[in-house]
Amino acid sequence: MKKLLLLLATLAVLTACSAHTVVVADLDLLSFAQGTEGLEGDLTVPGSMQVYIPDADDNLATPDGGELISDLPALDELHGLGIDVVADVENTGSGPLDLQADFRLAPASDSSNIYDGAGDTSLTNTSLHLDAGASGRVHLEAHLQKGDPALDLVTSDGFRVGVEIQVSGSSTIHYQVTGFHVVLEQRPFDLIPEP
Amino acid sequence: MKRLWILLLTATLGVASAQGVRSLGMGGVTLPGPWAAGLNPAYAAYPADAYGPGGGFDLPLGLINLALRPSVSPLYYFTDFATFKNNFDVLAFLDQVSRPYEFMINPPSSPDEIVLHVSADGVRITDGSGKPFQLGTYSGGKSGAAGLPLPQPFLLVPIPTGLSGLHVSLGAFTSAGGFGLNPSPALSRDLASGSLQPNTEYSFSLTGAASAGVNVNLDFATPLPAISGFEGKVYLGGQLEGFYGLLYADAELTGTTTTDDHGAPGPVTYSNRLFYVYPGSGNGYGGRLDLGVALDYQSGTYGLGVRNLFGYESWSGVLHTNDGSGHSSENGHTVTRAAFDPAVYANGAYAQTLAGGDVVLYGADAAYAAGAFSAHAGVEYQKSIFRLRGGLGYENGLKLGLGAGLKLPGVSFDTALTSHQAPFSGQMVFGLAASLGFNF
Repeated sequence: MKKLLLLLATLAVLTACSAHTVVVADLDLLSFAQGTEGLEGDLTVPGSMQVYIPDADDNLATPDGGELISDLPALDELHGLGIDVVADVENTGSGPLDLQADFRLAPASDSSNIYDGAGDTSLTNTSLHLDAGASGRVHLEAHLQKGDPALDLVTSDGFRVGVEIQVSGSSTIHYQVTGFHVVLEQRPFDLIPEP
Repeated sequence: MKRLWILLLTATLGVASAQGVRSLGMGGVTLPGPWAAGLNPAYAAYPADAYGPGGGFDLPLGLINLALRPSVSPLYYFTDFATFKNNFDVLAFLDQVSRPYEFMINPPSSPDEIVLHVSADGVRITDGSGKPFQLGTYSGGKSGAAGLPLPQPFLLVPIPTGLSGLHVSLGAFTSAGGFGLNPSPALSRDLASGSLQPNTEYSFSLTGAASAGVNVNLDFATPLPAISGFEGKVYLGGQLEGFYGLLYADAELTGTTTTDDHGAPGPVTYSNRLFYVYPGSGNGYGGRLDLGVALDYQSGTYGLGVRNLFGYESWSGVLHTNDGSGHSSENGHTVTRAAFDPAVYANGAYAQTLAGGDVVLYGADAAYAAGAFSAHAGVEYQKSIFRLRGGLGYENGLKLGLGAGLKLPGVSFDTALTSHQAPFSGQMVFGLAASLGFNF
């Protein structure tokens, strides 16, 4: 997927090179997940628990390095970065639940835990209250532009992303992640060196 | 030294595209007359004043944009880098430099966004509004060495021969073509279908070619004797064109990748091929044969020319190749072509005199060469010293023309509002052209 992007980005740059042209790569990370494991399921909440998506260590309940995105051209010269994550949740138990979701961005080197605040950062977060039997949607959306300090975490080595969902209450919950997009924006003219 | 020659070659490319302002105002029609002898040798013997004077000196209005307009001028790269970086558009620059005699009112613009939607199902490319990005629009012609027609002369200077009907002229030519991005058939097909196939090689190539040199033309054209019982007049002409080539460049850059068992692309390798000629490294020479016929009948004129009935050309220079794995080579190389590769051109004009002496002139032409078709139709209304013109044409897209002129004793001034479809984007671009003519 990443090498394909390199090919196509080169192609796009060759065909339209202007100061105002922005090449946008919209990565549908969800489509690359194997099956539905970790993306849809039922959880019993025994008072409080956390889950981490995507699941990089085969244990949904433990923090990990998230999804590494690398091997892309000129990542350290991004014009912008956007994220869009959507998850549908349903309280299938008998008690109320409170959800808090936090989208994390981390450097490529932060391979063990992108949720501990050591080198990583939160891009956006949201919260949701679900009464018994109620359904809701968790939607995380953020956009960084050139000059934003968080973009410094994205280097030529790549970067990591992930979502931490914290649930409190005593009930059961059905969840399904329905969208996980990362959007990279590159302005070819940013790569032209000054004479 | 090599860079200087390449710069000179680049600088002269646009001249080959120059068109008469009167013609632009009529949608691109070339009227019968000696100025059309390059398209139909019979017109070398045709009276110059039958349809009014030819073009004057075309004013290079495009230089205004090339010097001053931030979206068009590359000069800002050296003088004001911030302005360059925030405004320059390669598409606008290429379109303007190929039409130096037109001031483009709305230079073409590259898209604001190119969006690559990457998912496990494949890749879709759209513009910023979500419309599919048609790779076919971006495909160019054939690569230069195999696809450039034999060069067309410009700035021909006649040499007096003292022999009736025999014309010798010296001139120069520039020729450019084959520019474009050419995805391999497999890449175009599979991107359109939405997914890449396993174990398949995909490639795309950027191509372009250009040449320049001097011409010698030997043209014999004459009106046939009057035919008893036939009111018309027939002109026949033949032309031998020879050229000596000074500059030549034919480049191709290719990126290639091969997918694995799951359809995921492997590393992209880049290879390139550049064949170039400049004084000191080689030269080119060749020639071709053209024939034509023209007919005057009543108030109309009709002509048919076939150029390049037989052509031969040979270029010797340097071939530089890089196979993408770090192996490059540079060797002497010769490209030779000898072919029956005819280019057909037909045109006609009809003058209608109205009551009161005003004249309406109708003109049309059509051409076919190397797989490309073009056609134009236009009209000119002549009233006293005033000229009004309009027309439509097709040259890789629709072309419009509106024009006006003043024909005073000894001097004429013409201006035209013209349009063409920009390469790559297909955007309709409008341009202004003007010329000054002296007719003593």
